[in-house]
Amino acid sequence: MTGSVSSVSGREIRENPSASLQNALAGKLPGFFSQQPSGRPGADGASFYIRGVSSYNGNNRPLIIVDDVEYSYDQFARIDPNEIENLSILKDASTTAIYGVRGANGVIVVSTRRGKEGPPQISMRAEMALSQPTIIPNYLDAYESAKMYNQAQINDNSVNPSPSFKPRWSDQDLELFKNGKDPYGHPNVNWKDVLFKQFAKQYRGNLDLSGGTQKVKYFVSVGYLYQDGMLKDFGQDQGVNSNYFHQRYNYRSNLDMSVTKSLDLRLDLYGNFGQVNTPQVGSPFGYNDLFYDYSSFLTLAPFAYPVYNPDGSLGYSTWIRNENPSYNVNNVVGRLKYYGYNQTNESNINFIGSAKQKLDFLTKGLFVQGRISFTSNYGYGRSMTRDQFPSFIYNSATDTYEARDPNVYRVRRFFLGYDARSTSRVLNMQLMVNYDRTFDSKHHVYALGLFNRNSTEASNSNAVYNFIPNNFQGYSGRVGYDYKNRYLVQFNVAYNGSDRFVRDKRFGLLPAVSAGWNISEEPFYKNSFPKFMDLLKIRGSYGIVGNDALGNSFSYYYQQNYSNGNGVVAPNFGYSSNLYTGVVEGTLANNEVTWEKEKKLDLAIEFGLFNSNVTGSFNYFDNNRYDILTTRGTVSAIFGQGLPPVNMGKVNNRGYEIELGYQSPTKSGFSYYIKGNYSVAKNKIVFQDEPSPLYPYQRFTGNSIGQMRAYTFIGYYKNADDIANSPKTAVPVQPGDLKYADLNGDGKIDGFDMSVTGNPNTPNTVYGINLGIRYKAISISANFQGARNFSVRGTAESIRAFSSNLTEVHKYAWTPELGDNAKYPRLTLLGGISDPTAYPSTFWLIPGDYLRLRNAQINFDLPSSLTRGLGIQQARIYVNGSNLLTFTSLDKLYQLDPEISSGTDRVSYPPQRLINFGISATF
Amino acid sequence: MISKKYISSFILATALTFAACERVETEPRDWILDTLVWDDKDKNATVAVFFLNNIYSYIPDGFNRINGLGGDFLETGTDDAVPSRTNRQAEYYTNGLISTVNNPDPYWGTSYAGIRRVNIFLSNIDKVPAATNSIAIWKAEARYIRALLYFELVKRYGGVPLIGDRVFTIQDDLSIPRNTYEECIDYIVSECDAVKGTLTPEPVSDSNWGRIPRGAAIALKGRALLYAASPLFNGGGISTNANLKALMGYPTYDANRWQKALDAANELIGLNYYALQTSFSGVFTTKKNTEIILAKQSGNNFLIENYNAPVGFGSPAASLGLTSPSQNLVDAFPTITGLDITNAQSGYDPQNPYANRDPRLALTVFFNGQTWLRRAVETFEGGLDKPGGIAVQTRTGYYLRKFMADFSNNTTYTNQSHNFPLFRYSEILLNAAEALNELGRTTEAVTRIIDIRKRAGIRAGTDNRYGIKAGISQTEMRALIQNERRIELAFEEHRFWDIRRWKIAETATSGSLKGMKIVKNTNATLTFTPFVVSTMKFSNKLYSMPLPYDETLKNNKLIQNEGW
Repeated sequence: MTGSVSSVSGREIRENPSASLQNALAGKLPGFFSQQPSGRPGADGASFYIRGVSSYNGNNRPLIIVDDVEYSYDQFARIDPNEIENLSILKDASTTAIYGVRGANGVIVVSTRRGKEGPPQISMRAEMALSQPTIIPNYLDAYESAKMYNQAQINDNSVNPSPSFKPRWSDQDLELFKNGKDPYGHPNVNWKDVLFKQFAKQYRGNLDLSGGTQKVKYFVSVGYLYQDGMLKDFGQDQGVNSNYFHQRYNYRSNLDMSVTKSLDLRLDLYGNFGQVNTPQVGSPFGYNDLFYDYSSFLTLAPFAYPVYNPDGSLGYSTWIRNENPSYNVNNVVGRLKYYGYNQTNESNINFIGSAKQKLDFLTKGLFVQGRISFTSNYGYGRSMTRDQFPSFIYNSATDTYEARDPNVYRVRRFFLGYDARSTSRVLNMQLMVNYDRTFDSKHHVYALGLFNRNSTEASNSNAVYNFIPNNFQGYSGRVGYDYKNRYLVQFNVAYNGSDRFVRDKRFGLLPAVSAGWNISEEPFYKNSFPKFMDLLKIRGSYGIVGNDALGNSFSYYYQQNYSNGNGVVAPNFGYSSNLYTGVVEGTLANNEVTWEKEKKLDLAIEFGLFNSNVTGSFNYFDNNRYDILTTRGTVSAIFGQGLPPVNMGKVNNRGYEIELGYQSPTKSGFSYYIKGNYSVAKNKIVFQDEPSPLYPYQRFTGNSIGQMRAYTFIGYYKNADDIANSPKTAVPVQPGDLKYADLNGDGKIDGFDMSVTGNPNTPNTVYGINLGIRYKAISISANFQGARNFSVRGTAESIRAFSSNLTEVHKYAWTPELGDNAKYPRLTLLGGISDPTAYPSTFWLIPGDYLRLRNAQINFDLPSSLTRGLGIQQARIYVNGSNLLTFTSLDKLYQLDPEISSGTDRVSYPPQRLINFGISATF
Repeated sequence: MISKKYISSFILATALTFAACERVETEPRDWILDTLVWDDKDKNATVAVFFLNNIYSYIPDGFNRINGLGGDFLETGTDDAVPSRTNRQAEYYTNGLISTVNNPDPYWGTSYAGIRRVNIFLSNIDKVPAATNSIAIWKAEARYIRALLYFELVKRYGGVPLIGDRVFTIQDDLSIPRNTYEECIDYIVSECDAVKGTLTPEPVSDSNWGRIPRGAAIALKGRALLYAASPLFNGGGISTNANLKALMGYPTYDANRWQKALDAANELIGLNYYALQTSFSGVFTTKKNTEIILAKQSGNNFLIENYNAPVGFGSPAASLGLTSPSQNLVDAFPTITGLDITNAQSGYDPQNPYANRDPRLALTVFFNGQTWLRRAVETFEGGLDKPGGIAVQTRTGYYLRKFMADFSNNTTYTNQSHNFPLFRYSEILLNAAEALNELGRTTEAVTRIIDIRKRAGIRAGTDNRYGIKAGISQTEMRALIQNERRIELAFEEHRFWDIRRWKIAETATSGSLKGMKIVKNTNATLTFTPFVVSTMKFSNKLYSMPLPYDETLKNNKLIQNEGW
């Protein structure tokens, strides 16, 4: 082995009960970076990168290869872990080179389980998990919220006092909020309790059959997963399930046949079909996201309205209907009950057929292999929704009811909707010639020639790209030699291309070379090195790989077109003012566009001590991405037209990975292990055609991808004198507002005082610690995982008081008494300099560094004496969990999961903590 | 050997599969390519006309324009008004916050995008076999719009890079220096002269209404020449650097420039087609009339009412009251006698300030007591339209009334013609008056103003001079013309540029911007007290807009304007 590869076994993956495959990988593989921003059933897969990110074009996704066939991100998330034998990530040039123009972001290679010779073996597994959010904001109650609302009004009024000013809530109102004596006129609702379950459930079951003879081997597996949502089941009495849920059936049949002595056939049929359900919520401003409602103060303040009126009808209030009409959406419980659901159904059917012919009669060790795979995904959406039901504003003084909407006294019928969703079909053909032979048990020679053709047709929300075939074709080769496993050398080359580019820019040659020296195999080694060092190896590789996935908004850049679609303003002519069609020149073409390339350097040292009970490695890499498609930033607007991207960007990404592990020998049934890994990948934009700004601190070039410009928070304005003596601001400030550094010293706070600061949202350091103990039939394992050096910023409904519901931190909003001990700027209902959206600053952009107990398992193997009577060979019961504990620096301001996307404007469906109980048996 | 059979069948099968992949449609075939736009077979030039239609959309608008639809009038950056909402960018022009990165109205990228489209049209339209006559008119229209866009640039920045008919490609060097002010004005004037003979002559048919008429070219030329003759540009520039001075205006004064401006105005008057309408109010809501020379066409709507009418009117006639005209503007309106309100003979009563005023006042602003949607407007403290508290409402005691249809007897708004007037005949008369006065022909100037005042409804007076005193001096007349222009053309995007070209912005937009505080007494009488809404600041650099920061970074040949 001369390349950089990290692997994890299927068994280890199965210790994590998470429904999306990638969530089980964090912390287990050095060089694997992931971030799980959401826990929504069916959409809880983390985004992940190999060795961080190297391109700012928007696509840093690794190539995913499952059983030699390319998978999409979504397909990958839905693989049933029960089907996995092994998962590896390929990180350097030599291992990714045969993937050519698709290998630059690294490659994930999954191999599935296959039958072994032997009697049929049936295994089953049944699991039930309880899930709850890792964190969900706890909001203050009605009394405190109303009091703070008053305070904000008092603060705002003090700027320009109005003689008739009265805060919104009187002392009597506050008293009633506090003592709860008027639950209808002055409700105090804990929406978290009203809306969400204590625990949601997740079920998983697997059944597989494997075995075989010399001629035929088989592995057949079926799996079922049901992930329920955290919402209470409001829709049930309407005969619909409007909760969030995800239901998935996986199936796989892997067959291996030896047709003749020299011909092997492989036939795999596999896939899954699933349903993802979300409630129709009807949030304000068309969000349709329950968590928007939950986080929004103006939609669901604790005093927004009583859920039910005394007569059992749904409640509402004039507070929203009359005072905040833009938030006038109906009673949330009613909406969840009556509005129905939106559902995506997908079915994924795949086939791989492969034939391997040994050509030993020509020369020993030679074989050819042909492979055809057909993968398809078909999705459609189904919705059952409605938009009307009555709710009433109860007047406790007069005991009367007023309809929220005088035109609505009935529950409208459901309406059925149907639409096509993601559909794709991929045809892949591969033909390869393989040679692998060892001469004199010294000279190991191997070679591979591969022809690969891939054609994808997929639906796209942009009609222009809908079902346009996307073809890829390539030749790759690999030649390797090693001498006594002591000196190793390998050459790789790929010549491949993609029809996303103009004809003469389609193909490119991408070579890589690697070498290794296994010092511990040298004759002199035993004499010159201490005895306990039993393995020492150095290796390195260098090469060029490419990335043809050019961001999400890929277009045929080489072709200019005119558009009469969106954004073309047509004029009105004529006395009767008719609107006339317009046509406009589109972005210019660039027929030089081609893929990105990356020069990858990888150096590593591996060692083993004490009979390889201690293993370790150190890996250094230096990747230089170039030809990144970049929209030129230095072209004057005099040009008058949008410019096409040009292959000119450069990013350097370098770092290292350290791996250390200890596996104790087993002594009287007791053994333990401890393994740690630490990965760093720091990227730096080297060139992105950025005009040189007036102030160097505003340059993005030289910083990491994804860093933003923000003001530097230097404290709160203390008083009027402080304001008078501070640099002038564009909007008037009050004591308690955030004060920013005047970086250019011109006495004004403006756009020039924003500097590129903080960290990007993607961590540049991740680490994992894996521990395990086994004593006879009991084993316990734990996996801690952490991430460092990334920043998170929340805006609007996720943090801003009175956009967001109020949290503990808002209690410490600035007052003259708190002064610098305040944790939040002064309360206000207006925008202003402290607003996180309009004035992004380092106050809001804070480190999200975290350490979590990513998963843990306690396993008990039932004694065979007990099970054999039942015809069970082997049985075990276990409890495991994921996201069990979290320690993060984010909680100094936000009550959000640290893996949330930066710039988030509301609470998202929180990632889930799972506690999973399972039994498994083999017959 | 059995395996050979397998091998050959395997290879054959593979070969067949690969051969079967003949590919078609490897890229979108439904795109509109340039061959379709400039179709050399289409005598109707269908798609090419669509392209021209799009160029028309570059004609500037003026209603609630700053910061996009639902934004503010440019006038809210002058002494005529303030935005009702606080912290609006339009107000940056009067509170000193304009900077190279913070200029809400750069019009730079938009203008050059429009210019590029004109140039594309000009260089391609000849490929299309439409009637020669049509092509000539289309080209003239496109060139006119290009000249108009250049004028938008020149009035903001002074000289800008003139790119002629060039359509840039990526390979072109875009480090283009600014042309001098003189070159830009000459270019605009020559383009106007070149196309005026080809543009549609008046009267424009109903179905073609909105297309550029001949008069628009003369009007644009006239405005460009008037600006060029004005103090700021006619040798009075603020720059001390000789290079920059030539970019920002004419380096030296030349009285003849006023003559050119007068000639252009007279040329338009000489068409004998355009005329003042009898009613001032109908000018803005009658889509087609002989006072409007060119207007930005838009579909019928009630956005103006919706955005600007007093806030007390709720659904279904929801009104947002976004614009607050100032007391400064209100005070500029004379009384019905035509005399300034400071004049003791004017009949002005400070405790009944809206009685007996120039009829244009009530058609320009909403003041307390005016009828709207069947009730009286209440801008007294605590009134329906000035309730107090944090809701958006007038900051001055006034709301914008101009451009609206008369809804005083309706209960809700209905769609109206709301085309923003870019050039109208009153301006031509005012241009002529200004040029005449500067040329020393004050008496002739007076007759032009009288035309306007007569139509406005000012009383003729016993001397039949409509409040203009006999024997008025040139200086007095200059002030009178400036004032007349302010009130006649209020909110038509003139004041902002006029105070600059007259070089009076340093006095006009510094000091207090006032409003009127009206207190309703217990006996239902009203007490009127002017108060200071904001203190305006002006610095000399604001005479020209700053070139956009990004542009100066990208094109190192661009010289930034004085002071920025």
